[in-house]
Amino acid sequence: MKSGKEIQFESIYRDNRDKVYRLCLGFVREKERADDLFQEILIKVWKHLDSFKGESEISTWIYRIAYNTALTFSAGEKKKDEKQTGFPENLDLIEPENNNQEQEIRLQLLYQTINELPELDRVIATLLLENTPYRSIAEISGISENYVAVKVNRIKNVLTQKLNPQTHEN
Amino acid sequence: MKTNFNDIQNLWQFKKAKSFDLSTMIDRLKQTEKSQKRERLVILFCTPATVGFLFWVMPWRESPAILISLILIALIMIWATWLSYASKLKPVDSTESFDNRTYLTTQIKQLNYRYRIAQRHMYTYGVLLSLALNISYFVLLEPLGLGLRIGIHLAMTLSVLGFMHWSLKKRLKKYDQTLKPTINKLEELLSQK
Repeated sequence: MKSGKEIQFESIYRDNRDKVYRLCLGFVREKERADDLFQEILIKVWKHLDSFKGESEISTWIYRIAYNTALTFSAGEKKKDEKQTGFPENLDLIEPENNNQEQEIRLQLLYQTINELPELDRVIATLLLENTPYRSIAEISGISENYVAVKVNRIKNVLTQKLNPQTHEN
Repeated sequence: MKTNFNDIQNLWQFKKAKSFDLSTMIDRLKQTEKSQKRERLVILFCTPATVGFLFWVMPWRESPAILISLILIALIMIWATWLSYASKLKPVDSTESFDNRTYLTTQIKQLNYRYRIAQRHMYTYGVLLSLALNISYFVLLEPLGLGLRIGIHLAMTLSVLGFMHWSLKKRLKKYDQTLKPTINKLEELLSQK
């Protein structure tokens, strides 16, 4: 029989897995590493679930764990990447799951663009893309709401420029 | 056609997590938790067991110096066990009120603490241990000649300090390769805020 913790964990997983997985893809370049990070976050959520006191939304709590883990993970992984100078040419980030080739290419470009942002901007960008309110972004990232707004404008510009190269080249 | 930010959001949210074998992971986590509990119990058992064994084999009733030596060894072992627990990073994620800045600050503090333990406390540990052993040896080696006694004291002190120095250098080298880049990166992230 499943324990209360297992039931709660499964429910959290069902509700948040896609967002957390996308966060991982925004933070690490390769699919295998994204899977490792995803697993590491799930392990941390499991380990610390007993300490969740309900003082904040469960999703905010999970994102805090996810982002903090992703930051430490990418900080630790950086030294392994020192010899790599650019994005891998084969763009082997994820397995294509749909037949829409164009969409897949655009998705890879989006991951690449997010991956090239500084870590704090990466955190904000991924939260923004999940429609997270500014207040929650500020709460998770530990910066003021006003500063979030400034960052958001810049990030939106970078993302739209990168995904509309022809418009900006003209 | 121009892509606006809503299109980018839709594109981003299009990606779904792959199916994950959650029950296997939970089973493994439970097993890990059990073995970690066992390890902690072994550590908790080892310290008093070693001290108890020393008290059993050493003639501490006959000499206050040996008693002092054993108490010193017991205190050193308790201190080392406490340092080992204190340097663990575990509490860092458990507080839900931690924002990113606090998390980074705490991580940096904890990682630097590991360095500090190695740099400062390991030598202190070595010196105290040599002192405790020398006190006991001073009493136990009484029947031997002066030259031999001095030789044994010196050899033991040098062995303990030499081993401590060697393991400290080894640990610091490992930290330079693993902890230092992480600390630098985390400090860089903190300075961005």
